[in-house]
Parts: sequence; structure tokens; C-alpha cells
Amino acid sequence: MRITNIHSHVFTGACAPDHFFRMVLPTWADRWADEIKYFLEKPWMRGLIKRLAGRRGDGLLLRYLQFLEAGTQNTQEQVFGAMRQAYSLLGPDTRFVALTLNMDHMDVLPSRHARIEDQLREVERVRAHYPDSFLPFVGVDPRHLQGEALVRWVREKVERRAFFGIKLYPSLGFFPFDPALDALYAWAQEEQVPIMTHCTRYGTHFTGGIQHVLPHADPPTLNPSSPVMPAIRDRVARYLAHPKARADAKYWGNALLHPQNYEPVLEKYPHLKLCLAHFGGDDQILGEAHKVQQWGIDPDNWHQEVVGLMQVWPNVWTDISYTLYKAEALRRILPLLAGPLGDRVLFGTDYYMTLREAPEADLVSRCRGILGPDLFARMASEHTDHYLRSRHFDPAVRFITARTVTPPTPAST
Amino acid sequence: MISAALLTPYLDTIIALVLLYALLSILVSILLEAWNKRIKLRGVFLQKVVYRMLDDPLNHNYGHLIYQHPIINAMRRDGNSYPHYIPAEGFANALIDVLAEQAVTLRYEAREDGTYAGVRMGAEDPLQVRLNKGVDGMAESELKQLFRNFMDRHRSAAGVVDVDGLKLELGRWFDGNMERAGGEYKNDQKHKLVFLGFLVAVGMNVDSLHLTRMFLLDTDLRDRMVAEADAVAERYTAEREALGTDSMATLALMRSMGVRHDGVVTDSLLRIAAQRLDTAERRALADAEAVVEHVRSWQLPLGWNTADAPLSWFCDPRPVQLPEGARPSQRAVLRHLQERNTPKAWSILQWLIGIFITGWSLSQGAPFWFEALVKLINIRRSGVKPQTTDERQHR
Repeated sequence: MRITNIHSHVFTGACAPDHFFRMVLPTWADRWADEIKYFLEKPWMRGLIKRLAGRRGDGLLLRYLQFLEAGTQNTQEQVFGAMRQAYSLLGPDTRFVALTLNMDHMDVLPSRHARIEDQLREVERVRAHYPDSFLPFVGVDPRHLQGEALVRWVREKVERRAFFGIKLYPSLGFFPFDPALDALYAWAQEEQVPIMTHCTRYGTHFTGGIQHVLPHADPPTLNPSSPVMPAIRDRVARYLAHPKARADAKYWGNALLHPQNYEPVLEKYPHLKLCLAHFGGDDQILGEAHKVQQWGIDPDNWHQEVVGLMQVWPNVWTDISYTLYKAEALRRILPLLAGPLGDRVLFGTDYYMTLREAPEADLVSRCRGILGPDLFARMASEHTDHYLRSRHFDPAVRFITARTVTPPTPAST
Repeated sequence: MISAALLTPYLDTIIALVLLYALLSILVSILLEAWNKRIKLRGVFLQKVVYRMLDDPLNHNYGHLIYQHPIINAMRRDGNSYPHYIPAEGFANALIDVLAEQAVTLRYEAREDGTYAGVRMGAEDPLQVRLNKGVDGMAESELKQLFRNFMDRHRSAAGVVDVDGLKLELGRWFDGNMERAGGEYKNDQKHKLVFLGFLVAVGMNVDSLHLTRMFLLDTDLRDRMVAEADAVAERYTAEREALGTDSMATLALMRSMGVRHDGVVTDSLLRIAAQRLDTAERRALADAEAVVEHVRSWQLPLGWNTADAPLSWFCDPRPVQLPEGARPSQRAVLRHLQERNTPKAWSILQWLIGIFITGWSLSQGAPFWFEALVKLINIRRSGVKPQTTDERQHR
């Protein structure tokens, strides 16, 4: 049995925009960014901030700490090395799906960070060193490339087996039903290339104002006749009309992340292999109300929304990444995992985002303890293999390191 | 017309203050340098400069890619720092490799033995060919044009690029950028100099208004300071003539005073940082001590003690007795001290203004104050020969 962690990250702080600090600190602090980083690197300071942030219920500072803890490593290979080491007891054979993120458009200010092409190039180098255990996904953003150009860009990478799927992160500033993604979905459905998307009420988000992303309540869509579009427009209008919600992307970013946003896509591409990561989020599983739910802008429980989508669409998947840190949430979904929908639930951890909760090895062993060895094995092996399988990749086949420079005769396919 | 003799005490007071600012500015520089070293700022700054040089929005941020190159990556002290210095040759080699690597594609082909085998397409080509392909394959941009121009200047009639010549060219380009970065680094640190200037002003309780009064009233103190300033200005002028630049003269002067520090005021900052990498923090501490010791040797009315403002405002005042036959200037000093050490709104405001003036002055940098000192000494020398303390007492 070969374990696959379907959800991990290895990108470093260098991949985030220069003004990423704006997410957690006021603009004046930019000038003292190096000093602040120095203090934040100190364990005592991190502990203090964690306590303060925890008391305020504010995840923003913590998110920056996540970047610092692993993301301040200088290379993605170093981040990957640390993750791999955590799995030494589970076996050196473990595979990792590393989700790259296109953060180039998450800010409106100029930045000299390592853009998506640089991030992917570095990831390819890691892949060259660990071809059989490091399986990256391409981070996609409709503001980077659109339509056929986007398909060509992704296809080239997938066809030469450098990348194995597509990663979306809508709260960085786009809707998943953006028409620019239409051709990509058509191709991904045809080739059965898996798509992974972030789908919880928390996470990284666009750092500029709402006017840059949601100028009005009628966003362009690849499926204008979808029956759910009016509901989506109404929700966007509610976010735009609420002064507190529109003031902060950590609230209005929920409008971009809502599970219902995938319905127009799935109506058009019903066999799209789509994983709505995190199973709606541990907070939603446990029934904890988010601020926007309390305000009545967006009252839906996202965990139930994800379950609903999985019931309707046969190729909609989810994973337990990040959610697994909360034992109670994991126990709560155990009946679902044992049921028919359980075949489309994947094991993943969301390394290194979870480092602030617990060390990776502890998380995995605790998760294994709660799920039991059989269920864990199915989720981490059978289900993940099924999800990863595409026209270009058979998870049963091993990769061997690049040694030759002369192309061998390809096998007949 | 005001006679030169009447102006001399005021000029001497200014000279005494400028000398103090010059020395304390060195302390500020040392603290800044030590702090930057601790937070690994040089490495971060160098990284920013390299990223800016090689950022091409239409292609790659080649700065990021060369930092991943084994040559540069090996210069890191740990996973959380950047190299403080990159030799021009290492930069050129890494950049050429990164550009050439663009011509190589790694793909995994399904083989009959049931594996996916990695194939590096284009890796068999010689470096010159890969370099050409790599640059040709870039999207049209200003950086691509720059690389192409560099290569064309070292291309033979047969169209082959002389890689060694290209390396030298890229190295010169890198060095030029680093030279300019030195000035930029200083500007970038301005806000920290202000902060540290105020920190030193408060930390050592250097109240400029109080010192001005003391220099005006205490002729012995003023004469000592002016004599010291005269010697310092002379040494500084001699060093400047020998070394050519204000910065280097300041450095030499600092060394003659027992301070070995040579960071912020140098022209090639990044290079010097690399030479002093290992023992820098220890040396910075010793340097700071040397400066403080030097200031202490002048026995100036500064520092924190319960008999002096502002601590005296919170403690019982100790009456100061003047010796028999005290001079009028000593009585004036006593009156000033009694007034200053009493907690009144005016004395508090004066103290705050005095500290503010010191803090702002210290942020101007040592070269500025040494230059000012030399000019003031020259003015003094060109005027009427001032009276010595003995002559004044005789009168």
C-alpha cells in the first residue's frame, strides 16, 4: 500500500507578494518589515502572538506565522525535505501532492516576488530530484491566462508529467465560474485531470479592496443560464451592501469561496474531477458560526453544501486536509466516511499550514488512530490513486530519475 | 560691529557640540550596523537588489532563480538567511546556467518496462548552444534585449558566444549595480538612523540645550573640548587628504580613536560586510564601548544620575556647595543646574527639546559632523587668536 498525501504546500515566502504583510499589519509597518520578521521568528514572540491572536479569534496573524514557520525557508526543496522527514515512520514510499499557488494577482501593488512561472520552475527542480514522490499541481488564476492560452500552458506541463492536476484558490480574487476558465474545465474533464480547490471560510485572500474584485453584483459567468446564478448574485449583493463585510477580504472573500459557486461549472461539466478541499472546514463541521453567518449575509453551512454537491455530482471529491487537526471534527464525519460518499474523501494534511496546530507526524498518527488503519489506508491510497488517475498519469506506474539525454522509444499507448 | 573675541565663546561652544555629535554619530552607526547584522539585513538587501536587477515580468524573476542555483545557495549560512555577499564571478556563472537551463525541458515518458522515465530534452547541447536557445526562447522584453546585447558583444564571426568574455561582462554589470546599491542602502537606513539617534540621545541623556549652556558657562570644559576638536579636525583633514574620501577619512579617524568599526560609512558596503562576517557582532560591541569610553573621558555633563535632570525631578535634591573663592562662571553653572534640576514645566520642556535636537543631529551621520567640524575649526583659526584660560584669569 502506497500512501499519498493529497494536499500539501511547499511554496516559500518568496512566492508571496512583497506587500503580503498588509494582510496582517498596517501600511506603516512595511518599512519595519525586516525587524518585524526578525522578532516574529523568535519562538517566544510566536507563542505570544498565537495567544493574542487566539484570544481575538483572529487567524490573520497566525496565517503569517504559518508562512514564517515553514515558508521562510529559502527553497521549496527545503520545505519538501522537512515534510518528507515527518513521514519517515510511515515509509519512505509516501507520495505528496504539492499544490502551487498563483499569488501574482492577489495584490494591486507592484511586487518583485517569485511569480508563478518561477515558483513552477523551482517546483520542477524538486520534482526532478524526487520524481516518484513529489507530484505537484499547477496553480491557476484566470487573470494570468485565459481560455485556450491557459489550456496550452497547463496541458504542456501535464502532458510531460511535470504536473498532475490543477489548483484553484478563488479567494485570491476570482470566481470559479469565471469564463476565462471555461476552456480549461472542458479540457480537464476530457482528460480527467484532477482539480483541487480551496473551500473553507478561512484562508489566504486578496489583499486589496473589494472594488478590484467585486465592482458589482453581477460577475461574468461561463454558464449564464445556470439556475443558481441568481442566488449567487444575491449573495454577492449582500456582501457589497454590508459595510463590515465589504471592508475586509477575510469576510467578502467568502463570496468567492462559497461551494455553490461550483454549481454553474458542474452543470456545464458534470464529469469534472473536482475536489472541494477541507470538507467545508472544521468550524462548519462543528457548527460554529462564522461572522458572515451571524450577520445573515451568508447563512449556509459549507460542510453540508459540500456534502450536497457530492451527492448530486458523481465526480466531486473532498479531502480532510487541515480539518483533521480537530479530532472532534474528524469524529463527527466518521459516519460519512464509512458511507457511500466516503469513497470520494481523500487523505491530505495541508502541510505546512497545519504546523501551527501540531507537528505533521503527530497529525497523521492521530488521524490514523481515529479513522482506523483500514479506512485510513483506503483514503490515503485507493481513493487518492483513483483521484489522481488521468489520461496522462497512472498512479500505479513508477517514475525513474532522469538519467538519459537521448529520448527512449515511447511505449505504445 | 561685533568683535571676533566676543563671538569666540559661541563659536567654541558650537565646535564642542559638533565634536560630541560627530563621536556619538559613530556610536549610532555602530549600533545600526550591529542591528542590521543581527536581523541579517545585508543579505535581505542584497537579495532585493539582485531581484530588481533580474526581474522580468514577461519571463522570470531570474533573481529568484539564481538564488536557487547551487553556487549561490551554498553561500547561505542557514535555511533562513541570504548570502551577505555574492562574488561577481559566482553571479555570472549562476546567471548563465539559469539562462541556459531554459533550453532544457524535463519530461517523463512511459516505457515498455512499466515505468515513467525522465528525459532531459536539450541537455546534450553544449553550453553556448543552450544559452542561445534559452535567451532566444524568452518572450520579448528589455531584459532579453540586454542579455542579447551582452551576448552579441562576445559573439564570434561564426556566431559562437565566448562564455568567458560574457562572464566578465556580466560580472562588471553586477559590480556596477552593487556600487550603486551602497548609496541606496544608506538612504534605506535613514529612518533607522533617526530612531537610533533618539535612542542614544535618551539612553545617554544627551541634552543639547543643557550642554550648550554648560559649554558657554564652563570655560575649562569648553577649552578642553575645543583643544580636542582641534586635534581631531587636524587628524581628519590629514586622513582625508591621504585617502581621498570623507568616508574613508572618518574610518581612519575612528581607528585612531580605538574604534575598528568600518561599516556604514564605507562606499562598498556589501563587500566589507563579507570580510567581517564572523566576528562582526563582537566587534560592534567593543567598538561601541570604545566610543562611550572616549566620550566619558571628556567628563561631560551627560548620562543618568539621581542628582541630574530628569532623575533629579523624582529624587530629593542634594544641595551643591561651591568651594571658597568660586569664580563667577562657577556660580552661574550652579544657578543653571539648580534651575534645571527643579521639576518645572519649563525645565521639562527644555529637556525634551534638548533631547530632540540631539536625536535629530545624531541621525545626520558621522561624515556630516566631521566635515562641519573641520569647517568650524578653519573659521576659528582664520579669526582672532582666542584667549586661553590663563589669559582670561589674568585679566
